[in-house]
Amino acid sequence: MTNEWAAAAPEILWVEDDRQTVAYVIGSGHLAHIAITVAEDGKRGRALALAGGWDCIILDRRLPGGDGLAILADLRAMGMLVPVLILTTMDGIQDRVTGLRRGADDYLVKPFSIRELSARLDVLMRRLRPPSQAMRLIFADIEVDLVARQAYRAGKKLFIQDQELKLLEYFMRHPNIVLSHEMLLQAVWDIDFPIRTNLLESNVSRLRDRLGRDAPSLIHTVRGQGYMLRVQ
Amino acid sequence: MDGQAGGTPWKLSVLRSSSFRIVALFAACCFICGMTVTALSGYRSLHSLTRQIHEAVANERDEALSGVSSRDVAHLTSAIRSAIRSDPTVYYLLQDAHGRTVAGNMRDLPRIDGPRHLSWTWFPLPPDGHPVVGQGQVLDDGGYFFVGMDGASLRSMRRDVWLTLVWSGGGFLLIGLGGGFVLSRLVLRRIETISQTARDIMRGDISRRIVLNATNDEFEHLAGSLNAMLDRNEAQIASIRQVTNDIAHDMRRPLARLGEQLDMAAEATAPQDRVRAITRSMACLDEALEIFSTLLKLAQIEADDRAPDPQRLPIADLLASLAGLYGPVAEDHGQTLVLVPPEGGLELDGNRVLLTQVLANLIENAINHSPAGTRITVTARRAGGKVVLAVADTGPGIPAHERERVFGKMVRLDGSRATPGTGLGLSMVRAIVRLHGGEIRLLDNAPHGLRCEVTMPATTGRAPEWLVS
Repeated sequence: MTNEWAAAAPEILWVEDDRQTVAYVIGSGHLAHIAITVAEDGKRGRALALAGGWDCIILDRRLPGGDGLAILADLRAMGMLVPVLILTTMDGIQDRVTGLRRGADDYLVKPFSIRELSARLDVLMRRLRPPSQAMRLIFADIEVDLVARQAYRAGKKLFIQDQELKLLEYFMRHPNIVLSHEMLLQAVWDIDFPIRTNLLESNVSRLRDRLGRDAPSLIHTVRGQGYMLRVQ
Repeated sequence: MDGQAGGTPWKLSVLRSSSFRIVALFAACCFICGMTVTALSGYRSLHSLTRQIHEAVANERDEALSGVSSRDVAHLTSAIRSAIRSDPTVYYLLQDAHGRTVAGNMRDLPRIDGPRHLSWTWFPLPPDGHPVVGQGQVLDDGGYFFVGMDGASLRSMRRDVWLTLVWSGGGFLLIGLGGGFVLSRLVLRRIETISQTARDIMRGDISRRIVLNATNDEFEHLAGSLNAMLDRNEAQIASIRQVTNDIAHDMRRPLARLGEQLDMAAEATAPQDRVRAITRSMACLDEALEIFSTLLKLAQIEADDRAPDPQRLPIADLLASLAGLYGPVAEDHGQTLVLVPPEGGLELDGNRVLLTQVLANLIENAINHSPAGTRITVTARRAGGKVVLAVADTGPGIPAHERERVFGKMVRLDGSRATPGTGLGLSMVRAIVRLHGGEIRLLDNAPHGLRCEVTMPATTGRAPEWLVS
């Protein structure tokens, strides 16, 4: 099943045997800007993945004809750096770590919300564009010096603490994309256990304060979805 | 004990047991050896006694013949007659060439040369039943001369040898079979105990164990190993059973609420009511999924015996990042979060995410269950071979009798119903701490409040091998 959209539409391979999940995601229209090719078993998925040319690959783990991790291992063994998102029901204490260690770029557990999937795909596909080896990140009038661990706004040095800087850095690396709560907690602080406080809200609000109450706000709350760094 | 699953297909029988067979084989070997030795020595004694008698007979004969110039009937007759008179216990017979008795104290014999054994029937007197051992000789003139002696001693010795053979054979058989039987009974009783225990366990009594008698023998050794295996299996079965029960029981509440909310959504007439009901159902569903996933992880952690993916963690870094994260949260609640950095380079060996979860959970509990103005202190110190991490607050605390209960699954104390949570947090905390070989205690934080103390084994000088990855 290939959805042909605009020529510039990113191409995603989704190896998934659950047709209902696929129909639900594609039917929702949230991923309409992406051309999705679906492979329903491990064998075909592997062949398509190794053929190359994808902007991102989504792998299920329990597939007819093998574990998605095996496909991932083959990809990485061939030196293919295409971003890979593992989308699975397996969420044992070690599963996420195993997946990431084997070369996955992100790990999302089913059941998931389509918005969450969409946000993660946006981050993954964006990741390729700016080199992540940058020494400094610049967005609008904010500048983050990754070597000296300092942040500046409009040339003025900001008084910012370590955890806040990590959060800011993640926003700066992924501007103009909605970042979900779960993504921020996992990516910035490695928290993949249930949280019972408004930890993220408090920290984002603190970061906004650090960036200056009077200056125009750059971190915006997207209701029900997460946060986004953008200029108005 | 019939052929059904859980029973043995046959009853253990002594005769079929290998110990009986071994002892029987051993007894058979003993029997053969013993009989051979007895028979040989008996034969030897008989042989030497026979030779002695023959020598005595030869002496008598030589004596009788010694005073005679020529070996014929005529010359011997008088010598034999005087010999009979002088020693009546020796038997003599002299026959002429026609087989007629010339002299002697016994009946005439067929003329056979050389050593011979005669039964008592050849002798007129006395009818004592004694056999005679003697020697016959054909004389030069065709006569026949026989000298014999009482052979009762030989006969009784032969009888003794046979008796010895029969009795010792019987003895060997009795001791072999009896010993085998008794030994097998003893062994089989031990095996039957083990087997019976196994069958009891299969019938569902999984707490049964093989009774040890402190004899420290090989059976005890086997039983000890089996008991250890059974303990391990029972713990795992209990854990699986516990998870199954937990899931079946604990999922019911959020699923029931989900049902109610969906019902309300279906009944709702106003669109905003419907949206609210659907939003609430999604929250219920999320809660159900979270409980489900937490219970599974909890089971996984409880079943593991070592922390996954362990690292050597500087405690100061761990505490600093948590303080950085939760400082703003506490501040928003009007509380103070104070981190007392540990002295020296305290370290912990363990899984970073799991240990972060432990401290995060304790800090969140303190924040959520304490009013504004509370002071929350996180400390770490070394105490002997242990590292003690403590999260203390000046909140309302937990009554002493409730402190053990809060570690139970899905336990939420009455005062905390309003705060968010599944009631699995502290169960998870304790499971993680135990996985790392530590223990957690809830204490009074004088003058009031709660103090959660996590005691973990301190790192040893060098990182263990499994840490270097």
